[in-house]
Amino acid sequence: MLHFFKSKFFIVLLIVSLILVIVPSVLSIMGLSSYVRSAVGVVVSPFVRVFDYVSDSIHGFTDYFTEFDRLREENEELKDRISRMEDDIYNAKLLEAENQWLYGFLDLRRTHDDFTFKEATITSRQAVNYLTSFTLDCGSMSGIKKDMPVITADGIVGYVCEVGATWCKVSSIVETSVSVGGYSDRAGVVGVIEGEFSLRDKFRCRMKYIDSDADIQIGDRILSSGLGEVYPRGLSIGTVESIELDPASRTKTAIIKPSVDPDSIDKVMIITDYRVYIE
Amino acid sequence: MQLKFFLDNDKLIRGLSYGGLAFFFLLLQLTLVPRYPIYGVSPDLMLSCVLAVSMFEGGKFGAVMGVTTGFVIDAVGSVGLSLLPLVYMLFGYITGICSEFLFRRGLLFFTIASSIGYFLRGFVTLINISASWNHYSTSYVFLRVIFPEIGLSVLFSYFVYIFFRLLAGKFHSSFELKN
Repeated sequence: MLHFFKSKFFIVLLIVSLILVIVPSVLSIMGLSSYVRSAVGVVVSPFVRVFDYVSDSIHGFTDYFTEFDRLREENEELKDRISRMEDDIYNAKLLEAENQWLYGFLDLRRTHDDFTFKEATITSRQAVNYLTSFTLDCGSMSGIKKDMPVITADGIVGYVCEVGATWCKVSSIVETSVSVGGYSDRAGVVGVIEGEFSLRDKFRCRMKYIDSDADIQIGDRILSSGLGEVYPRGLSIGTVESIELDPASRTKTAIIKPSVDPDSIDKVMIITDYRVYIE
Repeated sequence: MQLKFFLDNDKLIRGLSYGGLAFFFLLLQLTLVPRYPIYGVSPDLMLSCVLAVSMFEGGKFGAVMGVTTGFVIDAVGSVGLSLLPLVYMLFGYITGICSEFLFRRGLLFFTIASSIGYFLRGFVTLINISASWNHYSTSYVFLRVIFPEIGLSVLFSYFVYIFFRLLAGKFHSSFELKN
């Protein structure tokens, strides 16, 4: 049996595997995206986009089919008319959603006139169960760089964690890779927002190191403080859902519900440049 | 020796066919599967592809499929550590040898091998979680991620098996699927 592991074929493949394990891992730890990984991303991305479109259609088809069944039971003779009306409503909702998105985008541009944006579409979501990340359809060729903030009109989505030529990967705000400075807009209470694995499932994160006597309440809106290297000041992170007191450290910890759930969005904006205000 | 393996016309056609089918499952893994999580997790279809190929075509095919699949899934679907090329390659090679020389190829072998493989995959997931997250509880990780992932993946592996079994039938006339 051991002779199988001494064959030239196995040894060559083992060396190739080790290279493919070590090089991307080391480059990833160093914060660099490997050229080989980038090339794979460039090749696979167009196929993923087409498949994603098909997935959307399947999703849409199943929804339509269910609705159609319900309508047939209710009123058989009106089903064609209702179906047409539903198509119209569906299209109108799509237009309304797009309109709302653009309106929010416009509002954001007015509020933060120092921001430079790049619009991007989500092409695929995480393929593993321990991350809350997704891939966007623009990369270094569009001027995207690592650590650029990704937002919607509602608030922070995450940051760019890896960049290829035509794609980039985004880690959501609930990941632990980057701690974010935050403050409540009502009372100015400051803290540090960090991800926690057990909260990932519910898509929540923690705001830690809040003074025990600080005036923080459920429902308070938390904004980014601008401290750190990723997120500019004044972007919405989320709202306080619950507050816990840690007797050991004599600090409070707030559970934050992020403003944006990446599962519910298709389009985002990447902030490619912004002015840093030093107080 | 390696060159001969790759230049064999019949093996090249088989390799491309299996590669094409695996690519189809890769696209499913990246697009449709994450849209419908069950108990909060998505099954891993790619290890089943490696297992199916190694079972029907032997260790060399399995190893090549393993290293390619592991690398691609790590490159496009994950961030950070990249362990899958080595794990999938070893898994493909060993299961291929086992199916060629030690055990009878069939659904029973596939079930046992996929269960072992997905436990191994769960271990890789645990390493990745340790590397990616600062705060996590091990019991939570096992109960909410690793065990559901193993169970679902083993269940969905039969779906993958059917496709590869149909494709393998085009290349092998006998049930034993000899090379």
